[in-house]
Amino acid sequence: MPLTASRLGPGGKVRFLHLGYQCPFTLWYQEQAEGLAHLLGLVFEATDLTGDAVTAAPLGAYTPMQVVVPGHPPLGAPRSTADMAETLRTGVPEHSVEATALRPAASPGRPHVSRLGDDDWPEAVAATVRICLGGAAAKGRLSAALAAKLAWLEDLAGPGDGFRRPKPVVVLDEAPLNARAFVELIPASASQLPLPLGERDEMFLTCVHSRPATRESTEGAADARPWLLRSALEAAGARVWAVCGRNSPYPNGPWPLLAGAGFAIVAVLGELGLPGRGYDQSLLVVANPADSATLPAGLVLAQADNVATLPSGGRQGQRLAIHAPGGGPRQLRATAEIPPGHKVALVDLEPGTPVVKYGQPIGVASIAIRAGDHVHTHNLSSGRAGGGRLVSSTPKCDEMGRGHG
Amino acid sequence: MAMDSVGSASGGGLRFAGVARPVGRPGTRDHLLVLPTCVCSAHTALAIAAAVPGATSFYHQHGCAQLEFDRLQTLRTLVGTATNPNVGATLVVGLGCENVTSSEVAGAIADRGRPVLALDIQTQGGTERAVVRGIAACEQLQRQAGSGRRELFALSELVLGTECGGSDALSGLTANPVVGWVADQVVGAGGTVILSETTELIGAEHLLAARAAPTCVGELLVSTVARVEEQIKATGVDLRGTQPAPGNMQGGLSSIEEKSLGCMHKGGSSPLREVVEYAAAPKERGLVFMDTPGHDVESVTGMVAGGAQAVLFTTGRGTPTGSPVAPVIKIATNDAIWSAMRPNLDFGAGAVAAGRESIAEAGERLLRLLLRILSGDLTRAEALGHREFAIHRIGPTV
Repeated sequence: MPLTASRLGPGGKVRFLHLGYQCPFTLWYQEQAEGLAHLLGLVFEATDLTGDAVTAAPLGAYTPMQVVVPGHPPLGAPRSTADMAETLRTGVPEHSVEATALRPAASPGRPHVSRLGDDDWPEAVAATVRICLGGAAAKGRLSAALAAKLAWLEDLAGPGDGFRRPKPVVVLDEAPLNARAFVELIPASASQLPLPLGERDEMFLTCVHSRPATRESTEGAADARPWLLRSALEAAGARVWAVCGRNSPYPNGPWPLLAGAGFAIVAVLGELGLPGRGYDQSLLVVANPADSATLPAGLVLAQADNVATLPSGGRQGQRLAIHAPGGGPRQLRATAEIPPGHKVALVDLEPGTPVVKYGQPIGVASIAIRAGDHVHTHNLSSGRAGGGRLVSSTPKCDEMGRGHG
Repeated sequence: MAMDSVGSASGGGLRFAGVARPVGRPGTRDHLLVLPTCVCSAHTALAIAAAVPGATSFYHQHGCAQLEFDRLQTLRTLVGTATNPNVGATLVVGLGCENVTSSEVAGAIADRGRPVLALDIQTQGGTERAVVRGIAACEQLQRQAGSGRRELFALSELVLGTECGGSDALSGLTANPVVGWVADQVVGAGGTVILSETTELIGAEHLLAARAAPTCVGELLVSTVARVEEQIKATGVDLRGTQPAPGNMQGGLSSIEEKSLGCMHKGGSSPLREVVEYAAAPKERGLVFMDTPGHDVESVTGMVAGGAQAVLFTTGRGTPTGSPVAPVIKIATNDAIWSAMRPNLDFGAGAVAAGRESIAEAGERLLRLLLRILSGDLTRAEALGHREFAIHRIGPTV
């Protein structure tokens, strides 16, 4: 399991800070953060800005993740944020559930995630997760752009008595809405972050495990958001964690979006022994340029090599950690899908240039190859026997043999 | 068993605790070998060895009804195995009417200055008497043998065999380069490394030949590969036409050079100094190529007969085979097989694939393990009693 506690050493504490409204979104984020803290053997503590403890219920209490609005109908398949908001405003529900059913019930019997005794929690805070989807605007800490987005969520939640407590809400069985809402709420730059991030801060993102809907509902401008978010958070010095469902039915659903933004899978939460938390379909993914151990590895076998081999492959647009002899890993972005065991070009190669692996030519570039390209039989010709074609001892092969011998 | 001063790459160079021999290199083991000359004496040889503590033996099906080139190959392999530095003394057990006679085998062993006795089953008057006399002969050999005490030797005294068997897509990325790194250290220390498996060289022999010094060694390598190719072609099959196989290409291998380089990388990056025939002892130090088939046990048998005191064996699928006289160190190419076949494996190189360990880091780890095993620690194959032995046969049985 590649997840390490190198940065969050055992004995530290993860502090999860609710900046505003504790809605099912934020409480689910808290659940993810708590799961990770548990995994790393860290003490976990969640509070709101007033210092009151916040308790997240087991994930099952919210499953599936849904945005809910009182007195409104189940949604169809919204095509845009405006459509969604409009539908939410005007629709009439056929089935509704009171929001209280979604509230995390106080669960005194649920397992404590700390591996330390309650009395010896160390003061060291290994990480602070600040979470805010709404209400922080009231604290005057958000940029106008983010506040505008949050206003939409406030609309969505309907009139209420402020954001200190959740509003009464109604379950709408239309989970994709959440993915959209989430993506829309991602700040587009560091200046839009709710609070400046500290050096050791972590930020969790959650992409919901979506149910099928129309492709359109997740297409469009939202695709760029994970990129922007990652840039923003990394510029702020944070490591970006995300949890999202796998097997998303959307070509542009949460996971492909994140993968395209350079996030790598570090764990399948359902396989990490966190029973009863509803993680079985969730991936924990991470993006952090400083931590190449979480990126797909590209192995350079000799210093003269101009290709690296990817034992576990890589996705188009994904960053790869290139491990070369005599140096730390460096990063390269794959320009195409690279299957496991296949090669990526480390530098641009003109046609006719020898492709070098193991410090030896394994053929020549048959067409121009750019750094990051997948290198295989489509752009590499064997200098010897043709790749896979039946050949005999042709004069050309013999010349080649003598030429090198 | 390993000493503190052993297994460390620091200080006064790389050394292992070996068993000194009156002639030749030190052993990493101190076997009393009961050697059957032919298939007909193998059962008797095994019965003798079973009754003598510390004795080893093996079954083979050769030594009779062979054409002359196969008879000579069998003779060379048997004598080479008996004169491997890991063998302290040999009892040759013949039948009496076979092609490869006990007197010829024992004579060749004695010529190389090794303690040897011989008996024939027909002369002794049957299996039972041969076993009784054989046990007595073993006791006599053990009394003559040295103390078996280990002394420190430099890696220049090592002949290291390399082999890959049950390969997978990671062999050429993890275990083989790690073994290649160790091979370079052994060669750098003045030792000898044997690269083998001629068929696995096809398509990239020119690349290894380019590293040959002197160049005539490269020419010999190319002609050796060409000869094996012609032999295979004579059977109606062109190996090269199928390489890399569709499965190889799916796995990411783009050319036959790449496939063969992944295999030959076990030998490291040193200049090629010599090409030797199957089961022949290298005369040169450094990287040496032995003309063996891809068959793992035949290849390991050939290298051990050529004097390899230990073999590094990479495996992706989990090959359990060993050798009657040499430690065969199993190196897993991936974490999955390292976990699944752990009782048969000595070393896991899978961390290299994830970038958790560099080739050099894994190489240093393997080198430390190698030094401990050379100094007496048992390999998993030894602990489990694996003593596979197979001679590469060239022609038909007659």
